[in-house]
Amino acid sequence: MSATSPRSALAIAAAVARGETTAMAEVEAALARIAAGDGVINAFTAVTADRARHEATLVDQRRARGEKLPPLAGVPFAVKNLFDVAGLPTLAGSRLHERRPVADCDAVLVARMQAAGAVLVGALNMDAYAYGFTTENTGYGPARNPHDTSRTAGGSSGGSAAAVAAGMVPITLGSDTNGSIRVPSSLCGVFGLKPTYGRLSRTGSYPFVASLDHLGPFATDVADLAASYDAMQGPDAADPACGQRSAELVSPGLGRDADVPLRVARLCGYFDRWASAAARAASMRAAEALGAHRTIELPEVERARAAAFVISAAEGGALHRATLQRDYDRFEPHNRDRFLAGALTPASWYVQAQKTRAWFAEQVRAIFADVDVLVAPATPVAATLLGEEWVELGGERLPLRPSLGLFTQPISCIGLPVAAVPIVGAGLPLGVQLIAAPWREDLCLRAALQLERAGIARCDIAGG
Amino acid sequence: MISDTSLDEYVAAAAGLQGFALDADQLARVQAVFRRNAAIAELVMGFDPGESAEPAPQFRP
Repeated sequence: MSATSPRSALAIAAAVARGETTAMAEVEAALARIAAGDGVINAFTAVTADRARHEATLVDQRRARGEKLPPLAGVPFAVKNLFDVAGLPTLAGSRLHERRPVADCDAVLVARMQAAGAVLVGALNMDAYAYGFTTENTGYGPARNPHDTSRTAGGSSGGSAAAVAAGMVPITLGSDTNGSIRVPSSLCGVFGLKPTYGRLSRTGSYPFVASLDHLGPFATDVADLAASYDAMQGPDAADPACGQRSAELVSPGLGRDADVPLRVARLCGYFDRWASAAARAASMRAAEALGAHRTIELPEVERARAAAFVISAAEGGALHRATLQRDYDRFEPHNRDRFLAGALTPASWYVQAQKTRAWFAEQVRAIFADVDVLVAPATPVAATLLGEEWVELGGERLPLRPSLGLFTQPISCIGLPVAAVPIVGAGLPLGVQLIAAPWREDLCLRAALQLERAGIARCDIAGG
Repeated sequence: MISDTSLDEYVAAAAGLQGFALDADQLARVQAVFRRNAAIAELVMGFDPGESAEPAPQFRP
């Protein structure tokens, strides 16, 4: 990248608060980085320069008046284009949505980031309707991996991870139904957080699978991840899945508790069987650094993944049935037949999948009685070439695109919080999942911080 | 295990029932996807989670 890479979000906010820089200068720098790099990376589908300059002006005026600034004041951020942004059509990765009316207000999480002082600079590329793991979007082109632009950024929040990995912005938001935060985090080498199902409001975001959809942040370090997560917490009665819990802030205790030992176990069995040697090594390295002294084999993981698959097919298919009837020929070719087949799912499959999910959640919940954090690979392989169709794993030749979710689907199926953490190593980035009991994002982030401080986890800005 | 022929017949009938007017190529592609879905669905349909695992109306982790 020709423009300078950004500092961390918290470093920017601190510098703005001290008057060492201005929100406007930070926004202009971010816009310059996007202009310099996005022609190749293709992370952005819209750049909201006018809005960003207006918001930056407001932040700088507050400082000039001597007001105490909020925690992310002047921090540029961007969001997957399934978040409502006032004045833009909510694309959800689909050219068909360009005809829809523009959003009349921001999604709740966008508004909460703005209330925390962050400045929105744009909307980001994704797999159409979030049904994919590679962001090979026919309508908008692929998001490219900043570490090797011939390779996928992962998906479906590929633009979100690529924008952070390329150093365009320090924080982005994405969604994760079956792995769409964790897969691109792993392949682009950035930190990501998929909170507990129901933790963060989804109001004003375009759904994929209502009973599995989560939203969360990407960042270049753990402190930024925690700060953005904290900024977005809080109940929302308008989202029926959103818990009515008060915000449980993690940032204040993160550094204080960082050295408190955690009870850590590494997931084996299914996770070892399907992982490449590099992915298995990353998981073992992280587990060892966290002092893991045991391995655990989750029961019936394949069935849990199958349950997530069936639920996704059925709910996603039902959501898009009318559009497919009307616009099949203009629907994203990569997933229109999958959505349509999903719309034909027998009800008995769907109900049985939900029952399997509930059973699996109960089994895994019991494990957390004597374990704080489970470690597993985030993806079975590092970023593959764009257009790749097959991958060899566990001695079998498997279709690549669905296989990227092998390790994430069983976990999001039961709504557990997960920090996706990039593990330092040779070659292309690879991440691990740090998984905790429901509502214990603090433990995921504490483990992530321990790895970061030990030099095991780090986000390297591409070309930086 | 349900035969591919039965699955294909189901897809043709269900697509018609839901108002999809698919040509032969489109139908063939959807049938191929549905056969893969059925193979995956067998993993949950062949599992007995017990009577206590009734799905909640709204899932809570």
